[in-house]
Amino acid sequence: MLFNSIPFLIFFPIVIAFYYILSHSYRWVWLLLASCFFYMFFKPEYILILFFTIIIDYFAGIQIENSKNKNQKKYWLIASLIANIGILAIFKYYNFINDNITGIAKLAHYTNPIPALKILLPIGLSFHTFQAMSYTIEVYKGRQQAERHFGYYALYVMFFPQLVAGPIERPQNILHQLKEKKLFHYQNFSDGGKLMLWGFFKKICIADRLAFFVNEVYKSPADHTGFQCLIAIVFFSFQIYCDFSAYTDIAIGSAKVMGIDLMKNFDRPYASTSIATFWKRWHISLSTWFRDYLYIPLGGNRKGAYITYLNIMIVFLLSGLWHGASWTFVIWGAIHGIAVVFETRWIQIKKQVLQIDTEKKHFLLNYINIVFVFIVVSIAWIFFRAENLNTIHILFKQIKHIEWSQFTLSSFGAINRTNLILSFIVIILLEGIQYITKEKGIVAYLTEKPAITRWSIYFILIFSMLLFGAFHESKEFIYFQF
Amino acid sequence: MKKLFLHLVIFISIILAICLGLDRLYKKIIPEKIAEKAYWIWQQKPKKYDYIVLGSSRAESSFNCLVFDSICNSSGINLAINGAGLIENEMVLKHFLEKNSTRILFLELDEANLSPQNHFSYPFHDYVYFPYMDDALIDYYIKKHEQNHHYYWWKYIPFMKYAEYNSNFSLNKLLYPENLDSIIDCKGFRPFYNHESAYTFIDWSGKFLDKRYWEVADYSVPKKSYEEIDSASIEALNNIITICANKNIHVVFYCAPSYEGHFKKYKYNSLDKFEFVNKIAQKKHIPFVNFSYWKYNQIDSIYYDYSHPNIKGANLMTSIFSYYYKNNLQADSSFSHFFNDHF
Repeated sequence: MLFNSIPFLIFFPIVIAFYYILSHSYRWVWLLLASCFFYMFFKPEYILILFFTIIIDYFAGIQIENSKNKNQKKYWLIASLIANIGILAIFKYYNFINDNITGIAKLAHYTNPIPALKILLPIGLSFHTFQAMSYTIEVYKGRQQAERHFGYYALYVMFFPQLVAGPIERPQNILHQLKEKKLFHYQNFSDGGKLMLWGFFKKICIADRLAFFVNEVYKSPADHTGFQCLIAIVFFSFQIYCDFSAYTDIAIGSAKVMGIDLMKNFDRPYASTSIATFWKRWHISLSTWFRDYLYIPLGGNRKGAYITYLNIMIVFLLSGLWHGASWTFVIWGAIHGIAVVFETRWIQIKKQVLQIDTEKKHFLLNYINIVFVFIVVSIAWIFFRAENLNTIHILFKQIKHIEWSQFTLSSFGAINRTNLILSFIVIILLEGIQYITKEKGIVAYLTEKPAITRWSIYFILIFSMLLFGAFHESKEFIYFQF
Repeated sequence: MKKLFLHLVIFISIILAICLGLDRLYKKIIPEKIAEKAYWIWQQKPKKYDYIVLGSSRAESSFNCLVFDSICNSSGINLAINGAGLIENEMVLKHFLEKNSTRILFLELDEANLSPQNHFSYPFHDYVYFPYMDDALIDYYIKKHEQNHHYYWWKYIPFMKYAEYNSNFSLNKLLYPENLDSIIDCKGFRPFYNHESAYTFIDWSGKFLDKRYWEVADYSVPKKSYEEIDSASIEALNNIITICANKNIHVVFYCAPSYEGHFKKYKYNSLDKFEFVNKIAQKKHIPFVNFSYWKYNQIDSIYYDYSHPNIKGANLMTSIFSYYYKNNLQADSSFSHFFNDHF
């Protein structure tokens, strides 16, 4: 079920109403049923895959805790990881690997006998697989007790607000919250509602508005000028941010209404002064997942400079693959990895060779860095968004032949012109709001305002959505495909 | 909890009140400000016509009533709507006949409106008729052809229908209305492009195309994917024929001209559609005038794009059609002798 759909507008109030009407001991049943319904709205049969991983990890968790020696624990952990990664491999990477084998076989004039699988990727598979994996790893590390109640464990994986696009939660943060008796608090309702409203605004008014032009250019870049391609690249940077952070806001807001706090997933990433900082502010739940379960176990930065660089590259290449089974995603990850390696090296040179204090920076330099980071990230997004390498090639070719004469509004058709102007307005609005609320966040900022101002803002947001929202362009959230 | 309910009630009441106001406002101003052919049709004063024209953009842009009227000394109106399939044609016809009358219906038929899913707003331009949703006829068609939850959402939650289609009813369009004079002056005929001599190959986004690209890249390979004839459209076609039979209106099928490339591309799809139309035409004794094979389908200068003549092409087609009508059909009250005439 999409958050930005009529069924969700009906589903959510019903779930919340019964959540508070029911006694605490039945709430998990209700939430689990609601989560199943939410997931099955997309493609019902895929819930079986979800149940498969839930059953495996539930028993693996208990067995890990019951195991008396470390080897036994390890075997159970490996069994759980194989089951999770195996499902990812079959559904997400099988055809990708097979296509590459076919390509290589063709070069050697052989025919690949392995057939391609005709299957659809279950929605949000990478998200709930990673969340399930974090549970067994945490139990193995002894930082989390194995959950003996099957219902609560299933709910931990399936909790509908974050089921299909995160935040990728850790058991320590959410399992105990699901078990606690939550009393009705007006403030939870109010705070959750505000965040959901802001999320809906970002998705409907900004992300989907920008999608209009972005989709058109990426669909046929050869039919657009270099200037138009450039605008589409910048727009996509904002589109994907608004789209994904909107989903997160709605997810966090929905959980908050039920008195459950989900982890923060975004923190003004485009205000980052380095790529490394960008990854501390973008998709935080995934970055920290890779940091805790891959980068640190690989040795992190403790094994010398070159191993650190290698670890960084491994993390980013796998992060690229996590997003999608395509070379474009691998390249996207590689760009970020290389950028972080360069940054790390540069900081070392500044500290050790040039003996410059890297902590102190002139404010102008900060702004230059922000722009630089935005440019690098936007270039990387091209690889993320493009369907294939040919599209990327055409995009760069068009940009290479950019001319001053293209920098006019008249080169856009009438529909695009209106859309373009609206798009710029919403981007400026977004940046303005984010700047104003940067210290406290939108919810606290609104809460402090007098009721009349607060309510006026709610109505402005709602009627902006109704009057200017894009309802037909790109309804699905981009990160659903992962 | 009490505070929450109070706030929710106030909040929802204010939103509903504003939505209700906006709904009323949009209902009133949209037909006045938005340049949609349907609104022009709905605003026509009752009149007796000799003929009416129905179809999609191919009929709207190819049948010039002024030319036809001057040659045949008649009075007609072009009710074809850009992007309209047979279901919408049926609805428009029913509405039109509530207050008007005609002796003849020229109905444009081709592979697009017989398998409209990939060509038109399917089943019809529901959003265009939102301001008339109180009308029982519109209500019936939207309810019949839309998913139930959509229908109830649009009907009972004020303003949601206009919000969902806000790009079609944007403030820009409402504040700066487009001019509809060309339709009014030409009795509903809406030429796609006015330049008679200009080289006018244009793609769907309005971009001028190089002819080589147009012919070689796009039309070199015939489109192989077969499009089934849509059962709902057949039903609508039969309904149109029945309505006309009940009101003593003669029906004439015609197929507007296409550029040769288009015809070649869609040959796979269009030939059996013509066969289908022929069968109905023969069975019901309806003349079918098919301009698909006419001798001018290789002359670029009379086309706006692949499937629409420009004003020059429209005038040429209408002239030929008018003389053909005058010489063969006008005098024949039975309308039963002419099938499948090709040019």
